[in-house]
Amino acid sequence: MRRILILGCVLAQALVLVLMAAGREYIVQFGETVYLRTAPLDPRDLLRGDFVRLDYAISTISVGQIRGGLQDKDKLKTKGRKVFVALSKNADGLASFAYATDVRPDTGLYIRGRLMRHWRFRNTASAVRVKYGIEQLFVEQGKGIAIEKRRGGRDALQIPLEVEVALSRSGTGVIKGHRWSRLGIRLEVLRMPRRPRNVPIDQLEGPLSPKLKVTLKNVSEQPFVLLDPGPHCGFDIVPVKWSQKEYVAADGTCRTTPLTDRDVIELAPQQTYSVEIDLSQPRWHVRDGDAIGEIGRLAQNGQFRIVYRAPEPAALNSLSKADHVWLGHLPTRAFNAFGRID
Amino acid sequence: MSRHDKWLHGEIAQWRSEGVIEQELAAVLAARYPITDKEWSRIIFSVLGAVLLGLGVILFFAYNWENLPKFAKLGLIFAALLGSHGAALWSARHTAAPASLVEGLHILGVMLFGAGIWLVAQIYHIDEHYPNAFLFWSLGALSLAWALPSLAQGFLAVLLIALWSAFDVFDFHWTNHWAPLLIACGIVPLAWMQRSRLLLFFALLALLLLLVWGVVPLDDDLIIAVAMFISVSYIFAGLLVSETAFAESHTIFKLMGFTGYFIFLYVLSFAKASKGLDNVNFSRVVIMLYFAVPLALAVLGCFWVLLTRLGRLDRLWQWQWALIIIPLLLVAGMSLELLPLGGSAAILFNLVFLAHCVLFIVQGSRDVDAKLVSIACVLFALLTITRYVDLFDSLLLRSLVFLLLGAGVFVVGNFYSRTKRRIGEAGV
Repeated sequence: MRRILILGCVLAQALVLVLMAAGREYIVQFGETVYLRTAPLDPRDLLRGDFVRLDYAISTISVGQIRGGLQDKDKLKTKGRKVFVALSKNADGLASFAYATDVRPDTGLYIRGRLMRHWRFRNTASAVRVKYGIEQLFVEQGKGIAIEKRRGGRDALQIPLEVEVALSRSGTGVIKGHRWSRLGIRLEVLRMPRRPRNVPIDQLEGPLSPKLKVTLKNVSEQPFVLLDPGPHCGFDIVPVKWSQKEYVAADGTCRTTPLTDRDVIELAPQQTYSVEIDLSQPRWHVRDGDAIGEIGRLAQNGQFRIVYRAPEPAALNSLSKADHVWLGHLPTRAFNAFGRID
Repeated sequence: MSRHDKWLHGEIAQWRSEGVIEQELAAVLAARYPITDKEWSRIIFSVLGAVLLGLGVILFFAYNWENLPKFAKLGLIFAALLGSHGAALWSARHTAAPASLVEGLHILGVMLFGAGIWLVAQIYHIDEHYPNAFLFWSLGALSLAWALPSLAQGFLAVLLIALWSAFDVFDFHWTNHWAPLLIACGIVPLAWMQRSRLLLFFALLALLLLLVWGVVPLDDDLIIAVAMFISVSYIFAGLLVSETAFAESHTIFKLMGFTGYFIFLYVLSFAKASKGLDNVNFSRVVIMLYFAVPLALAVLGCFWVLLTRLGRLDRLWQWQWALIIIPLLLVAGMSLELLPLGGSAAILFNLVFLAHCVLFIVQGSRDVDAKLVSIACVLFALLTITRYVDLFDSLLLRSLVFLLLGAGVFVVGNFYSRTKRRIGEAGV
């Protein structure tokens, strides 16, 4: 009898391991695979031991992107509450955020997560953090440093890591592997605004916003095709997701700018494309309610990103190389009106 | 064999060689106190070796060698886990393998189970609440501790449960309610059934620590109250178990109980700590439970001793029981804001501490227990020196304190020696 009991305990141990592994292996083998881009490197990311901490673009959700019962602010503050994030997948397999809800969607692609409390959003109701259980990537000892170096630091070229995730029908994600984005992005500050102390802002003249240089680099081994029509319409200024105010780009020029083959930029492997963006110019002004102005005047406490964004596929029909144009988007590091990069 | 048995067998051999006793009487005495060789030293080495081997395996997999495919890693760990336990079972049944080998192989198996949990988490990049891995690991050890039965598995289970709780509290600032229950219901009964004082010691220590640090995320003003109530419960349990089948466990209960009791009584002798007793916020049910359950256990123990044992305890122990109730009532009353004494309660705590020291000195002198007298003197000196630093600025008063302390220790030593001599003469 005792031997049977001991045998039972031993088999229970083996069973626990089998269940842990089998469940995940099933998702890896039969779940739908997507790539999730990791967010721009935040200096607060830590490399602990032999794993890489991952932060995804979908890890931070602005409150405006939430549907269903989660719109209730009390529910949003509940740590551990289940969240389903609907995803849309592009031709590259890269999945991007569509919307978040507390009810499992009936169709489509989605991933399940849980609400977290984050120091950044403690006192604000503008955004929430979600954890999906895929925030750690275990690598061979020593390889983590190589990943961190390739991802890039604050002032260096940043190449997003895209994590290959298998999704089960219940929304559980399991990391299968990873790849690197084919495009890297770098943000530099060319001019920091000069602001004398103790002078009210409405009495200041001259540009109060930084001038930036954004560089895109083809880090793959194949040619890369981008579009940047008109006055750099391939780029947008967007507030960060945790912004307390809903700033919107004020300039409408790009909506009516037609696309031509001259706007196509072909980057050979390792080739770069740089643009200079003077945020004091009307092209880069933002709107806050009825007020329109440069971020140095209107949004001193705000944080923004410059995002390279390809046009909608439907707008590419007039182009001869429409099939080769990269349809993704790539944000820079966050920066503020004083030119400080996060 | 125990220290006393070893001495006795040595003495028997000596008496026999000196002709003090005959061979037959020597054999009768030796048979009355047999040598029970539990081969502890070999078990300890086997278990230590198994633990180190297991840690080595964990670290090997932690390297996460890319060239080793995941199914190979999984196959290795499963084979090792089943192989280790299988070898232990086979050895126990088919060979005359020593208990230390069987014990060591099962410990290795449980260590490999833990390695397997971390390995699966690594392979599939699982980022769940990682302290739960210690829960499953500890359940593996605990189940075998009962099935075999095995004290070594019990020790491992205590350690893993403590780690599970510690990571929840200190990494996630979250109170783990289940860990103390697992110790109380899973380890303490095992120690009792196996009559293991060592396992009981670690279980009671772990239980006290888990409860004390468990209240930190809830309300750290509750620490002293919870610790005091649990310690008092241990003291009363020590008085109650002395007439049970595991009577020798009373020393462990009393040791744990009095250690915790005196530590926190000493803390309460400071006015700042006493004043903080009424800061507990009872707005949450869970905080009330963490306060009420240990208090109920302490009160229950107190009444149980009163009803069943007090009359049979000697007078000094009756005084000790009465003294213990005072801080118990003070802490409970002040926490519930029924006794608004504030920092002045520290005077009462100091007097109780002092009274305990005097009683222990008297008791130790009466029983010729040098250890008890020494400990009581150390506690007395500790209290005196602490109050000396707190209260006196004048060098004259400070010198008086040391003179009195020195004189007191001198008197105690003299009293102890005379009592010991008197008892020795009465014996002759």
